[in-house]
Amino acid sequence: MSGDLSTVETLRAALSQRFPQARPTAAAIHQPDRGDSRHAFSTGWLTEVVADVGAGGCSLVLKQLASLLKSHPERYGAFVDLSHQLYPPAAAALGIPLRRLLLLRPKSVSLALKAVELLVSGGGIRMIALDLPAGTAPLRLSIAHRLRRLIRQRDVALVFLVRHTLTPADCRIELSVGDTQ
Amino acid sequence: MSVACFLIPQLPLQAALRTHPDDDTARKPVALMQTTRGRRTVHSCNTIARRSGVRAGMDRSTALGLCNDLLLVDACDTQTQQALDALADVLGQFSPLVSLFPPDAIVVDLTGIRPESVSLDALSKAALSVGIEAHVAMGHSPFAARALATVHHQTPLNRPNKEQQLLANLHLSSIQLPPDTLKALAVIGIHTLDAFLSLPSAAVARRFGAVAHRRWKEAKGIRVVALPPYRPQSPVAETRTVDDPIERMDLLSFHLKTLVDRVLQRTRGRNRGIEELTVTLIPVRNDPNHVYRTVLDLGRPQADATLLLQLLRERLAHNPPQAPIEQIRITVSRDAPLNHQQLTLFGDPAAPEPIELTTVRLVGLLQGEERLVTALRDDYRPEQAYERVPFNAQTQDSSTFSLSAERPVRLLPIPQALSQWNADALEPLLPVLSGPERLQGGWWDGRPAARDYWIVAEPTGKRSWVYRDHRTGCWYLHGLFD
Repeated sequence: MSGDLSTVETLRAALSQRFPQARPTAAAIHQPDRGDSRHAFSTGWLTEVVADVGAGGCSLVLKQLASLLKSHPERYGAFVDLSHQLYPPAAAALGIPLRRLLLLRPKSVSLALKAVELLVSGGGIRMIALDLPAGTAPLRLSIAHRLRRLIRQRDVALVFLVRHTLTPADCRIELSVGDTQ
Repeated sequence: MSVACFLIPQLPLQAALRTHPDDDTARKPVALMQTTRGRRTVHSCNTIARRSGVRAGMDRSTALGLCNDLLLVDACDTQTQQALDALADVLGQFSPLVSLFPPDAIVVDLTGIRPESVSLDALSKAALSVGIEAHVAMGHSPFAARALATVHHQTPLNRPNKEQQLLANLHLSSIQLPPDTLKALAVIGIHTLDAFLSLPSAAVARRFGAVAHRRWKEAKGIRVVALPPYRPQSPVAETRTVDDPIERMDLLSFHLKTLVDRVLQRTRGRNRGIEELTVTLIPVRNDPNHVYRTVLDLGRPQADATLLLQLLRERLAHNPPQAPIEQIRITVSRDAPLNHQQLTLFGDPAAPEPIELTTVRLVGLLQGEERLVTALRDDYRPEQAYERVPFNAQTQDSSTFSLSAERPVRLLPIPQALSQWNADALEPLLPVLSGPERLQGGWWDGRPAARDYWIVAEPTGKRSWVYRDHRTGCWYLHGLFD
């Protein structure tokens, strides 16, 4: 998160820009409930975005990815898309240079985690987003610990986009959509 | 001028054996077989086979009768040429001027190179690195070096007097004279080069023919052997065929290491690095259904054997071959000049690896899925508006992209039919936030689409992208705004 705005205000601004009709109110965004909110999406930190499909989690992650790639033109980003739903033209419209975004569509969670470990170990990636579909089992603590140690070593931002909490993250953001009717 | 000559004794036999996995062939009787007029006969054999009485021209059964454990290998002109190319490639690391000296030698021009920087030992080891045992000798001309190589004299470059002395005493069989000429010279008592050179030029031309006269002039230094410089014609490739099919990964890994080392030596000799490596594993009986082929697209030129092997092992571990392997073939399908890099004084253990290598590992992990990035396409159909393409670090996004209308960040791979919606309805059942947006096209590729899209608000506050298919009238959920 950059600038003088706090994390919540930045999220609110991003969401209202993305969903003008949804009128996201203060109630729609919970405070980052764990860790230091200033480090959400920072490199070396594991951020967990807990959001139902439609709550704006994916756009938020893509916006952050675009911002990081813009400020580090020599680095790359990765989106590990387990649900096989990410629509690249929409990501491009959010400012992501598609040639610098590795879009992986593994067939299983274990393969996705292996891919994430490989990406982090490589060191050429600035931010990795892992989109895990509903029904994914919580990650083993050893895996989470290993990933956190690796991202600190390699200075990579790792973001889990999940429907429910899966891992002990450094920072967690919960998003939900209020009733607009 | 100072040159080194690599004379390859029994070149066809060595060429056949260098693709043979059995490293004990030096201790086994081996015969190279040829087929002439339907008969399989011995072309040449090694010393151990010769001790058992095997000789060139013998038929197969006679040779096997004399030596039970005789290993028979087939002669192949392509293999012979490949062996010569391999050696010429490797020798490129010593000098830019390498020439083939037919039929079985290669000459390297070392003029201007300090003698102490190129030892005969280093030259011999270079040949061995591609599986060829050569006799190496140095001389002041290609002719002298080749003649000395026949007797395997390792003449130091800085002792020309010694070279002249050795050449003078050299037997005439060392200078490629026809057998008839050798016999004729022996009849008049001429056996050494010194004696041969004492004959008058006109007499040699008249009595012993054009070839002998040419050799005489070359030995005198009047005529220089013209050897065109070697120019690599084909991509670097190395093959290995095994008798016992390989089923274990460690054994496969061992053979791969040998081949990768050879391939790297050759590309280094060409002063290039490997950008793309193709590995083909051919199963028993060449079953086309089980031919395993994998391509390492390294993105930038590499010359690190450890790295290449690691990548290959990863690829094979994630996606192992499905049948026992009989032949391994490694081809450098793309190479490029090496980008030399300044090294740090104490190394940098935490330095990130190039992104191209990470993508190579990913391709292995994702079982051959090579298209890791996306590119936009000019197509109205949402599902056709992008394509997945292989990663290339050199390609950059040319400009920022903007959509003419809002698109969801999640697009369902298969549109979900909204069966409860009335097909006759022309408007969505849910509150419309925007639309309709008519998208149609695809008549040109046989997948026509004619749809009206709406962005609708669900009762939960989420937004969805739905469309009505013009042809069927059915409603579908195609995307989710998230």
